[in-house]
Formats: sequence, C-alpha cells, structure tokens
Amino acid sequence: MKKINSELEEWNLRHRLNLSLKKKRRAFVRLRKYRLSIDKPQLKNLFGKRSDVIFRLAQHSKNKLQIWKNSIVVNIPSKLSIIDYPEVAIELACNFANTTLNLREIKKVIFNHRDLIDYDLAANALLDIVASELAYTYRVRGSRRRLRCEGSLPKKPEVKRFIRAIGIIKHLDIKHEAPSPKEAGQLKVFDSRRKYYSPEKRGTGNGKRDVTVARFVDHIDQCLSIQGRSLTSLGKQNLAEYLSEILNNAEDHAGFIDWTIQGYLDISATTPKCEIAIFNFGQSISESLGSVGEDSYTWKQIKPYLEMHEVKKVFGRDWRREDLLTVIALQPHVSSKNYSSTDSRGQGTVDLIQFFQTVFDECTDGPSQRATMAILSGSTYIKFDGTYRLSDDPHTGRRQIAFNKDNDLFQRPDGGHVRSLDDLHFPGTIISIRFPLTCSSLVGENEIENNHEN
Amino acid sequence: MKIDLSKYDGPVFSGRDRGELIRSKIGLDSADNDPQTLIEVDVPANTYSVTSSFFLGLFGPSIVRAGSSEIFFVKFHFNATPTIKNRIFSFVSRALQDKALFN
Repeated sequence: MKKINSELEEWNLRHRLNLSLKKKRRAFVRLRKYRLSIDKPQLKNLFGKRSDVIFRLAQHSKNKLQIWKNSIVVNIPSKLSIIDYPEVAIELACNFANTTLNLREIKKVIFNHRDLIDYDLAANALLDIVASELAYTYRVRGSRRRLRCEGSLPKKPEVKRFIRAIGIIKHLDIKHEAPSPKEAGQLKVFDSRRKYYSPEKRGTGNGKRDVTVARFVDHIDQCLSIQGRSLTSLGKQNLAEYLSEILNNAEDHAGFIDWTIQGYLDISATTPKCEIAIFNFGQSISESLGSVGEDSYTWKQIKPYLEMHEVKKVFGRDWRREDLLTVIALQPHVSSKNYSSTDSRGQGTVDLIQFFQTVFDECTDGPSQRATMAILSGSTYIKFDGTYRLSDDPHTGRRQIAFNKDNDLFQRPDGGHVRSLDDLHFPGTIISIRFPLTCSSLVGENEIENNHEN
Repeated sequence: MKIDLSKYDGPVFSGRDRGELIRSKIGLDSADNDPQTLIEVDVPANTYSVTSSFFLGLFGPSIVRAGSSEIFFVKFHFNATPTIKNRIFSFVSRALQDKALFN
C-alpha cells in the first residue's frame, strides 16, 4: 500500500510538471498495471467474473435501457424516490443493471438528471452502485478501457448539489464536477459500503460494521451540531444499537454480505432534511423467514397467522403470503435464527421502528414536514409515516405493529402503508429514512421511559 | 473473574458472533458452571454502544441459566455508565421475556 501511495505521489508530481500527454498516459498505464498486479488475484477470487450485485438486480429486470452509440442512456425521471415512488426507482435500477450485462458493447454511461426534482438518497444510491460495479468490473478484468460517464445535472440547485456531493460524481471520482470547498462545507455526507468482495475480518475486535456504526453516530452528531445540539449518551447508545442490529440482520439473514449505508444533509437547503439510506443485497425478509422448516420453532410462531389469513381468503394479487411474512418479521422476537424459546433474536427491525417513532415524535413539524421511512424488501413495500405505531396489543399486551386500525395481526394491513410491488422485485432490503432537522433533541426523556418499558 | 471490554476495540460493541467469540475465548461457560465464581465486567467509559445482540451473544446463555435477572446480577457485576447499565437491565429482561406470538 505504501508503494502504491509513493507511486501515486510520483504520478501527481509528473502530472504537475506538464509532461507531454503521451508520457502522462504511459505513466498512468504503468501505475494502473502495478496496482492491478498487487490486488488482482484476490479481487478475481472474491469478485468473480462479473458483478454479483449487477447480476442479482438484472435478474428482476423486464427491459433494457436505451443504448446509443455504445453508450447506456439513463434518463432519470423527475421523481426518483424509494419512499414515495418505489416502483419507478426499482424498475430503473434493475433495467440499468440488465443493460450493463452486455459489457463488450458499452463504453460510456450517460446520466440525464435534467428532469430530476424529487429524490431520495436510497433511490439514487441504487443507480450509483450499478455504475460503480460496472466501473469495477472493467478494473478487475484488467481492461485498458475505463468506464466513461457523462450527463446533465439537475436544474434545481438543491438537487444539483445532492448529485454532485453523493451521487455518481462522487462514486466515480469525477473531481472536476465535485462540489467546491465552500459548497462542501454546507453538506454533511456519509457513505460506507461493505462489498461482497471485501476480505472478511473475523475476530473479537471491531470489524467494518462496528467502525461504520461509530462513524455514522459521529455523522449524525455533526448534523445536529448545526443547531447547536449533540447526541446524548443515550442517543449514541440507541442509534449505534439500532444501526448495528440492522447491519447484523443484513449480514446474518441475507445469505450474501453486501451492505451500504449513506447519510446526507444539505444545511443550505430551505428546510434541511436528514436523509439516511441503508440497503443490502441477498435474500429478502420474506425469503429468509419463509425458508425455515415447517417443524421449526419460528414456523410454529408464525403458522397461526398464515393460516388465519388463508382461512379468511384475504390473499390476492395485492396482499400475498410474502407480504404477510414481511410484516410478521417486523414483530418482536420473530427471527429465522430463533430455534427455541430461549433464543433471543428478532429485535433489529423492532429497534429500527422504535428509533423511527422517536424521530417522528421529535422531528415532525406539521403535515408538510413529516419524518417518513420506507422498508422495501423483495417485492413488499412498507411505509412508516406515524399513522401506525408499534404498540401494545390490547388482547395479549405484547408489542406489535399490524398497520391497521385495530393493530391486529390477524387482519389485513392498510394497503396505503403495506403493499405488494406486483412483479417488481428488489433482491435484498432497502431502508430509507428522511426527517426534517427540527428535532429538539434526537433522544429525549420519553425515550428513557420507553427503555424501561422494554 | 474479570471481563474488560476495552481489550476488544470500541466504541461500538455489536454482533452476536463477536459476543459469542469473546464468550468462548474467555471460557464463560465454565465460569457459569461454578456458582462460586463472581464476574466483574468493565465497559469503557467512552463506549458509544453495547448492542443487545452482542450482549446476548456474550451473556445470553448465562442469563438463561440464571433464570431470573436477580440471580444473574448477583453473579455478574457491571461497571458501566448509567446509560449502558440501563440498557443492560433491559437486555436481561428482554432475554427472559415470553416470546410466543400466539396463545
């Protein structure tokens, strides 16, 4: 690594000395070959011949994007958001992935962001990950050609800043389009990904997950500092715990380890909104829960619920068995990894919902400034906007969230909050959270009371 | 017996696998079998978080074996900030909760 750095410094030095284009190019090719000679064998083993992430997305695509003169044209719609328009975002990401599979034809990707107005971090991150994986595929194959990217930026200044700060410009390291230092000072950006081809570290020390969580807690603390506030020790404990549990779930249940966590806050926006996107690839929630054996402890937990919905004949095109399994998986103490009543898994999503409820209570400022969260897993979409809450079931006293007026898991949830994406499918789980930064504090007195209740 | 978490890299302690690994490394199962052994657990003051999965990976079998939080806290003594101590209490009661979803 030290040698690479010294070569890079040398290259930068030569670059500054205004060498001829030919010499610059030779130096760059030499450097690239040197770098590949170091990490290529390991990369080849872990990465494989093609990007597994792209392949998983492409499997659920129905169409391809337009290819024009060996360039993929990605026309970003005006509304690209997992929270508000999940179908559009998933379809575009899958189609983009599918188009990249024919690698020999592609020289360039053209991102047309001109019409983009309404966005969220998670939807944008999905497109970026496809482009980043494509660029990486070129590198792993030792191709002389590098993926070229061009396009048009959004018209709206706020959206333009977003794309330049954490969009494709950042991920493909297009330095000349990056935000100026003055602009960057107004942005709080967090981005971390555990790639499926990253070497795995196992041991009693902290790994990528714990380091990322600690950094993310610091990121949120920095976001709050613009209002002269900071996370309390309880806030740090809870936020780190919620996040760790989500990433644990992503590592333990998906059968494939590749997760991303991003955070974004534009202080100069009219109403600063804190955005958080967490997603992973692999099995969906329902696939993981549905894979347990019929004589298992977990199946016995969920069977009565499944049977009741079948008896009531409420299953159909827009309310399916997999949607039901996803809702059940959100309930406390339900986990495909519980094998007996002494096992204690199944808290990750409950903690996440608890976190969202705290954020909602403290950060929602009228109907136009609401905290919202979406969980999209496989082809099930669940929206949290404060309408339905994790609360005690009046009959059993157990905490649950059923997304209907009676908070009854035996009844069908409200279609506006839990719905099937029909034949669209995301190979993994996405959590997208957005809240206005009007919080009095991220964790207040009532949070402490909630903890005692647990 | 003393368990000093500062030996295992903070400020976040998460993951059941990590907790279980530490458990097996320090031989907590054999300490559980000896009723005379009292265990002191030091959580560094600069710790952001100890997650339930890490905690239950490390102490879950001990809690189940103890059968009640009172018995567990007689054997295990935690030196931690009040915030983390509060969470530890809730993790223990959570681990002992009835987990049946249906009657």
